[in-house]
Order: sequence, then structure tokens, then C-alpha cells
Amino acid sequence: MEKFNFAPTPENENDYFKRGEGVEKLVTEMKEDSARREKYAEQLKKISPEEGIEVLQNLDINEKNIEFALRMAEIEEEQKSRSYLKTEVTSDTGEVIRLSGPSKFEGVKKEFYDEAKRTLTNPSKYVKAAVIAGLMASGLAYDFKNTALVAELAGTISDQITNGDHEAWFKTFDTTMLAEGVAIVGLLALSIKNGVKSISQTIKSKLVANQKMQRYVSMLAAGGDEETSKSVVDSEANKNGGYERSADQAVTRTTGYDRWTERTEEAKEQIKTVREKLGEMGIERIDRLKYTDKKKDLFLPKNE
Amino acid sequence: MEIEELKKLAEKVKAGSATNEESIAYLDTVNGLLGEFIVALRSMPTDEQLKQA
Repeated sequence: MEKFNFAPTPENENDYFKRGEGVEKLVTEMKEDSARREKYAEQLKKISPEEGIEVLQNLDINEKNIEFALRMAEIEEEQKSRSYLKTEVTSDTGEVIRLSGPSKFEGVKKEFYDEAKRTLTNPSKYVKAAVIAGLMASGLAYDFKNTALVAELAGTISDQITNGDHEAWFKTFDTTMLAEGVAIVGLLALSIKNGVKSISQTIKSKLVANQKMQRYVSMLAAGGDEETSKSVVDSEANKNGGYERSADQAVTRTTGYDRWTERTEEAKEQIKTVREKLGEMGIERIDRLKYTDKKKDLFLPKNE
Repeated sequence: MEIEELKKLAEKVKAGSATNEESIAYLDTVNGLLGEFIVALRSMPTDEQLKQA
């Protein structure tokens, strides 16, 4: 076996001493790291469950943003095949062309328009709330996509309906029948149809039923392995005692461990789809570093 | 979630001053609404369906 001679020679003397300095620096850093790790270990013992949960919830928030992006992609896909909702088109060169004269689909638009006006002239509090919630969702979604015009329109209409200013609302509604306004139109249609009560009830029940699963999926999506993610969620659930259900309840309620394996597989598929979709849309993946830093801050002594 | 609460939360989320729990609750609500919105959009006829009608 070839033997290496690490002793300095006249030819490599300078390099040797440079390496020597590098080693000294490394040793110093390792000592510092070791001291820091000891501090972290001490700090780790003092971390409250609440602080740990906060980190998990940050992961949840990021994952929600990805869901958001996916929903927007789905909406855009659906819009493509419903051009009758538009009165403007964008040419290949990026020029916005106003479509003039009634199109053959004007009837569809008018029908919806009349229905919206009828419903909103004297809306029940639930319909009113649903419309506002729908507009806010639309506004926020488009804000997320940096489409300020739609976000602003959504905010304006939301305020006008809240204040019962029908004239202003009708006028703004007319101007929202633009290409960018299609999301608002669709949301209005939905809001009028369903009413906020049913929407919020559905969301609430989904939230409660899936809280545990969502957290688990968030951890998977953030790169956690299955065993660790499950054990963290389990441990949290046991501590809080709020997510667990008895076996009898689990039969009738889709919560906790029901169909755990299948739901895990489904979730993994969904994560894969989300990531592919985000890639297609050119949207960056989870900013893991941010949350790594967050954890690091958590472990640092408070006075540092 | 009451509508006024939702509106206040929207402001807090956009201003970056919402707590984690509030942000999650809000994003869940908005995601839920957008999900319903997609269902509504899909129930509207496509250009192709209108041409055939």
C-alpha cells in the first residue's frame, strides 16, 4: 500500500503551514460547535410543548400556501375552457384586446348577472357573508399571485356589499366582467348558490376531522420520514388529548386513525402532484431553511 | 368562523401579524372556499358544451 508522507518539504512548505492554520481553525470551530451543542442540549430540555407545536404549525402554514398555489393552478385550468366569461383577451404579443359587440355567449353572462343582482338586492345575512367571504378569498388568492387589480376589485366590492351600497356594487360588478374578473364572477356564483353557513360548517367539520392527518401530511411534505412524523403527531395528540377518538367513534367519524394507511398513500400522491404542479408553474418549493432557522432560534439560549 | 372575524384575520395575515393558529385557520378557510369555487366553476358549461347546445 502506498504510504503518504505528510511532513513538510521545501516544495510544499507554504501549503503545509497553510493547511496547519486551517486545521487549527477547524479545531477551534469544532470546540465552539461542541460548546454550542451542549448549550442547545440544555436549552432543548427547557423547550415547552407549545414552542414545539409552534414549529410544527409553521410547517403547516407553508404547506397551506402550496395548497393555495395548486388551487390557483386548477382555477386557471378551468378558466381556459370557459372563455365566454371574458370580455378581454391577451394576444400572443401580450397586447390586451377588448372584444367588442355581444358574443354568442352574452346570454349566459346576462343570466348570471341578473341572478346576482336579484340575489344581492336584498340578501340574507348568510348570503351577504358568503359573498364577502368569497370575494375575500378571491382577493387574497389573486394577491398571492400578484394580480393587484383583481385583489383590489374584490376588496372594493366586498366593502360595497358590506355597506349595502347596491348602486356602487352594480357599477363595480359591471367593470369586473373582465378577463381578470372571472374568479370573482365564479366565486359570486358559488357564494350565492351555497350561502356561507354551509361553507363554514363544511370547512369546520373538515378541519376538526383532519387536523391530525393534516399535521402528519405537513411533516411528510416538509421532508420528515413516516415513522418520525407519525410519532411526533401521536405524541402531540396524546399530550393534548384532543385528536384521539375512541374506536367506536372512529367507525362513524372520519378522523384519527381511520384508513390511516390509505390516507397516507393518498397524501403522498397529493404531495407528489403538488410538487409537480408547482414545478410546472415555476413556484419555488418550501423554504426549508427558513424553518430550519426557526428551529435553530428555538434552541438558542434566550439571551443570545 | 364569523365573517367579521374572517375579515379581521385577512388583514392580520396580510400584515404578517397573525399568530400561527390564526394563519392556519384563515388559510384553511380560504383554501376551502377556493375548493368550493373550483367545484362551482366546473359546474359552469365549457365553451365546447355551449357550442354543441
